[in-house]
Amino acid sequence: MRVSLTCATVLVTLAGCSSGKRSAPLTAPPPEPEAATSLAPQSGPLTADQRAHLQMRTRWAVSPEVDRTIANAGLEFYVSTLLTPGEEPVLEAEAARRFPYPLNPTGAELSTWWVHLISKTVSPFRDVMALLWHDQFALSHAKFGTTTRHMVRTYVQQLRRGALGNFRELVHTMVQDGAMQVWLDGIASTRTAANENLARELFERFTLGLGNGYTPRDIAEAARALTGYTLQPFGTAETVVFSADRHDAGSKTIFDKAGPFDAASLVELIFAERDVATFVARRLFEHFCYPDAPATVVADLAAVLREHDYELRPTLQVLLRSRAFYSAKSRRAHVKTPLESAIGFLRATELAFEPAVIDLILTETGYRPAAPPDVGGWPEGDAWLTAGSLSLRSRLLHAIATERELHNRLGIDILRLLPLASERDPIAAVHSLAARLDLALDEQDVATYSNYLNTRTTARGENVETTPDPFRFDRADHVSERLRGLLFLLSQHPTFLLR
Amino acid sequence: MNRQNSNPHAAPGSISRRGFLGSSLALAAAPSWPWRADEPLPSLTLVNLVGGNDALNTLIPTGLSTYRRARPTLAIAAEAGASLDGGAAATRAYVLHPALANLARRYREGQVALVRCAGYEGADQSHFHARDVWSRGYRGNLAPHSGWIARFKDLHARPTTAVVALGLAGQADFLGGETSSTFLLDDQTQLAAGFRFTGDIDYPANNRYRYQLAEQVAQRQREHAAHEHARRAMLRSLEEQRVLSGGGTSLVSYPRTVVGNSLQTLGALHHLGLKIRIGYVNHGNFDTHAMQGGATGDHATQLLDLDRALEAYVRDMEAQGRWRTTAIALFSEFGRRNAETGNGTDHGEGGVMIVLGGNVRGGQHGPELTEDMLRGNVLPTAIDFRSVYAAILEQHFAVDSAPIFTEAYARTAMGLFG
Repeated sequence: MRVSLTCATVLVTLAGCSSGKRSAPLTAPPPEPEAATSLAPQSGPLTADQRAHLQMRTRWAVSPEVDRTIANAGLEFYVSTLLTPGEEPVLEAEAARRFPYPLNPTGAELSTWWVHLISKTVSPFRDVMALLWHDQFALSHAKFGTTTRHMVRTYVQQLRRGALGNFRELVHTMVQDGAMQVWLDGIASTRTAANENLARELFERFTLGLGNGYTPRDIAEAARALTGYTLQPFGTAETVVFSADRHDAGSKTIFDKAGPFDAASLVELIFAERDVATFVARRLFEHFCYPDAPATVVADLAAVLREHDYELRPTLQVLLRSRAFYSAKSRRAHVKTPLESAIGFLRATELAFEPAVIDLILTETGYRPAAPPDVGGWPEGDAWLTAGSLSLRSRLLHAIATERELHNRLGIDILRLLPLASERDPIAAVHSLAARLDLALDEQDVATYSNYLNTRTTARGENVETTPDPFRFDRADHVSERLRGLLFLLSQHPTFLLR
Repeated sequence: MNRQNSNPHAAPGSISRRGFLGSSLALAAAPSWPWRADEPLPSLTLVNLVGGNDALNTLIPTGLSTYRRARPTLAIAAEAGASLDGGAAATRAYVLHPALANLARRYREGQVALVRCAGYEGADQSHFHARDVWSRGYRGNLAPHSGWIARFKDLHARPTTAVVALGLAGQADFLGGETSSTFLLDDQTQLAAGFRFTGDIDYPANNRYRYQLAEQVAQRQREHAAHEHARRAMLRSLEEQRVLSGGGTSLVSYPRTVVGNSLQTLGALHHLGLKIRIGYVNHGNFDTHAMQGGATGDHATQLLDLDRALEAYVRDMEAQGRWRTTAIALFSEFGRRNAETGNGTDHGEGGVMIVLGGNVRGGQHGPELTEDMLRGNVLPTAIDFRSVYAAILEQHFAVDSAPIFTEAYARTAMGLFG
């Protein structure tokens, strides 16, 4: 289930306004500030804060090197590198070793395999987009058996391959995808008994939105158009094939158009007869800018999408360079999912951690790639701000920050995060590390954190005794205890929850 | 004034609200506190059968030939079902699914109420729309945006841990109010892993100091109001980690299933003394378009997991001395089609709600199923689900349902308790 929760809703809720007050506004809302609704290119060079925003939206963490690239080579260059990620055959081969029996993978192997790719890729933006489409075309390996589960791997590969391509092509791919056919019961749908599950989600989740431009009859007729897919033995597994004798080749009437539609012509019909662009543009805009987007800017972005025949690259070119994207309204407008939190922390701290353990804890927090709760994808917004989820995130982040043995084995020195002599000072170190995690600290926070570095702690029964003790960057024990402790402490700053 | 009749949890202002809404609520009995002073506070456990449970194969009409004709593969024979022929509300017109043996026994013991054809008027068979209506307790598209549980919580259960949900599938029920609920997302391993946070074992003193500082930082008011929701969430998380770090123990053993683990966690939190008013558990994927089966198959397996886990939970509540003040309500977003589609069923409308508890008055509610009804496409939604929740609110919690279900609906009076 997706709840259309927005940050604005969260703020109002926590500020203690009753829903009754919101339901009957006495005055019209104030007009949107112009920048927040403009797709015109941001003019002039980006500020450091805007560059951090761009990194948080496209790679979930801030890196000083990437920041220099954006500052020196320019926004256009950086965006074009984002949109043309290279192939990573070595990484893919490494991740594929997680499948001892590739035709019969387990659910854990599938999720860990994807977490492996997400956590180690040098082109994070591909998975930012693949996960967005995963949420839109949501399916979970939990429904699959030993003989069909391998198709979920193909599904993920299709998402990653098509993440930045053409949206209409992606819909074609997804509707005919084997895993999707299994997940939405296409393989149980026949000429004599058409199953409506896939047809309904094709309208409701994939292209139009709930109740937007289709009738129950359209669903029933579209279900007939989508018949014909069935399972067939494939080594020690099964695969999905199209079988003409299961397909209902008769005429169907959809959107008042009659014809012998099949899966491909049905998708083309939806794009020709209905407004898919607005649905997708809203999804893109709200994901990259802010929730509850005004209709005008969504319409503008939909026009861009249509103009480029649903090609995502030129559309994202416009969006990631727009004034709306860099407006104050977009800054920290989203609550991080557990995955964004964990991978963002790992990326920002340049530390290593075992993907299988990340997957284990992501499972506990309710966000496991390739295993969303249902066809509606994951919740958004303040559902992720609940205690159980946050305490489990804390556990994972603490484990990453204090995984000394693995880091020593891999030769990872935590001091490499502070390469400059000028950063080897408690206050400068706090600023430098907080910038990587994109925190908004005030002076008191900085004082608390730098004092933490300059404090020795000793256990006294149930209590902790503290003694002033200046932090020394050349003391391995100080670094191991307190600098790692600081990384964790920073991850518990309220603004770390946002991106 | 008799202390037993005064409700310690009545909301201020609820009387004038009732007066305002007036005669449409004439059915609503004046809430009076039904519990002894030495009894635990009443609690409700909601079990969401996610995906649309097949009502016709849950509560099976034994005498209707249309049922068997519409379902050549899926129909369950009367003699195979779990008998309801016992106790004050004995009936042979229906049996429960054979997997629900414990529930049927509790029915025969008079502790289970079955509500046929539950739903809401104007159902459209969409998961998302149906869940939205069930979550908000509101059919209209406009306000309130809040979930009905959030509204209950604001009025009657303000501490964060007074409403606990396991899993996220029903989360819209909890959102939009002034107060927050506790979500435990770790259905599978909650008890195994617990909330015990080992932290940095190499530096235990520094580890504790970090948590103190983290709380200090989160306690501090910020200039930037836009981050206030995150600040409160972080603070709540750090505070609640302390509360929940006590972990949990169970007095009875539970089956090792997902729903078993969820109910065990909830039972353990009751035992921890959290004063939970509403606990919410998600179970299964009942969206049985395919592979549904009849007496065996996917649907049967999920009902069997449910029946065994529920029975353990009931015994746990009995062992804790809570059973009399515990109510459990099973619901699902809709029922399924009357006729099967191969070995499965598509989305339908009317469903079956089941309420059980130590003080529940056993029986059946809603229209009798008829051949005519089964000749249609779907079961009707004759009983608005809010009638059931309103009865629980008034008769079990002794609170007014009007401020929680503010939209007008066709209410059916039912005596579910006592």
